[in-house]
Amino acid sequence: MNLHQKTASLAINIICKNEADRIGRCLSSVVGWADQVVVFDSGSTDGTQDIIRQYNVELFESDWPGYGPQRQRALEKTVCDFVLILDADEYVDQRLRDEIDDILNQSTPSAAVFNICWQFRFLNKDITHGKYANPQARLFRRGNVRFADAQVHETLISDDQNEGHLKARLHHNSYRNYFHCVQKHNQYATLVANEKYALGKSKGLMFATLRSFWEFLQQYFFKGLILDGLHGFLLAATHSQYAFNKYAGLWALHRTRASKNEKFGREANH
Amino acid sequence: MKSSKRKWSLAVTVICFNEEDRIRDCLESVVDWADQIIVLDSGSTDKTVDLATPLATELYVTDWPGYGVQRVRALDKVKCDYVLSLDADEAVTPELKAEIDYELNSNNDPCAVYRIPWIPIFLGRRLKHGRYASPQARLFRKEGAQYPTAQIHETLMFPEGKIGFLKGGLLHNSFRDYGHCMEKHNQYAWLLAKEKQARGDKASIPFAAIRAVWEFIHQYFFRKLLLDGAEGYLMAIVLAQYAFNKYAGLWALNRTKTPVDARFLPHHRERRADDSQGINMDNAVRIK
Repeated sequence: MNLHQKTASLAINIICKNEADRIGRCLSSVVGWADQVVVFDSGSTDGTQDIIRQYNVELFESDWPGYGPQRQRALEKTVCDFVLILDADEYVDQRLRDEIDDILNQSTPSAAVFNICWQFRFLNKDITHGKYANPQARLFRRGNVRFADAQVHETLISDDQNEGHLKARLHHNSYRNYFHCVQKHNQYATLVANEKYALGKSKGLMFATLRSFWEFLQQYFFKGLILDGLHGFLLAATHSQYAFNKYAGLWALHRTRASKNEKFGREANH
Repeated sequence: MKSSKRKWSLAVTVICFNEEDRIRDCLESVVDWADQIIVLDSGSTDKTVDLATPLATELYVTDWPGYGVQRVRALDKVKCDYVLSLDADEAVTPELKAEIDYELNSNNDPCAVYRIPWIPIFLGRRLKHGRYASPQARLFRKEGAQYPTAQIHETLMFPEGKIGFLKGGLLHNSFRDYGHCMEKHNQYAWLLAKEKQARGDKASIPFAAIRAVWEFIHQYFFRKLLLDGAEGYLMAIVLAQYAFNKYAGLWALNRTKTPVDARFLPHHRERRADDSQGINMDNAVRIK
């Protein structure tokens, strides 16, 4: 498959659910440019699929097996040489499209996996530091990669260790508002807590507390969120809450299991 | 309505939505004790209504107009002298029942309002301290009582008269698990942020941070959550996060110039029960 002048063909993989307000911008930024667009929707109820059908893409409806397995499903429907994975809350601009075209036009692309930094937008401000500015392994040669089975954050496993870095950034407009930001972090914290619990891990509340202080210091000072002003401080505080809630959730799972959840609670000082 | 057991008759009102795992404990704690058990369900899609029907004396299915209005609707159905207002995640202890029977049977006039201590159950443990153990004005004389119609944290407009304090507790099984606890606090924080935004309030991020630290100190030391062990400590942190997210949310709403949510505009908030304009009292479908 080679519809454009590119030497290597390019596919886009998107997984989504209930993204009617954002999927259009994401698709508009790649349809007509990529050679193949594969979208997996895990049962949207807000009209997301109707919007997707207006674009020339391959749409699959499925259940939700977790992030890793869903990414793997999309990958298995892909036939192009290279794959760029996107989320519905992301979109590609002309700079990034040009840079990717340049790579795919080389007779031999310089690497098998390319990292792209996020252009992360938080409460109407572009954030350039912290963990959401970290490079993401998003563009890779199909064939020698697969996704780990993890439920929460998909992990790319590549046989080829040769990595490249793109200069252009990937626009990421993750949170509709502050409530949505806290809600998403809470949901992830619960997922991670359950995953750790299933692995038999156990941590105390003191660990959760120290971990949350450490996360704040790490993000605000070492990762430079301090340079992103009040937005940076707020984001560091959100990461810190997330770190706490992950381990507090794990502790709570052990605690309620041990008490067998008596109907109206055990007496204090028990 | 005449009470068989008490000199003053007693109604229990419950408003609920999708509470199939908790509604039965709540209603079973008052069945064959209260003279009237009025349940208002705002359209549950689980088995809540089926489970409540055999236990309630009256059951209505309604739309969701906000906490305040729903409480007004429930109060409107009460024919007894006194009202005990419950949530589906609460249950009355035997000690509290005995104490209420005693009060409503006394030869002296009972108080107009009684405050009842909450016994929050957090991750399976009863907490004795902190914000959620504060006494709640949940038992009151029907005559003269009304609710304003703010969206959350409905506050009763007290009937005039003495206020009594009961010792028996109201069990409050508010959070199904830690995830549910985070979710509820996030929802409340956001609602309060929007309510404050509509009032024209402002907050800064440093204020939110200081408010969070203060909330932890206040709850853990002054409100003595430290006596409730590890669960008390976790609850104090949850409340600190809640305080932070409330003011951070307010800052974010102002910063992004988000339009004010019409439900929180002042003219909306100040409506009272007797202000029939805008409150649909006849929206309920009676099931039982």
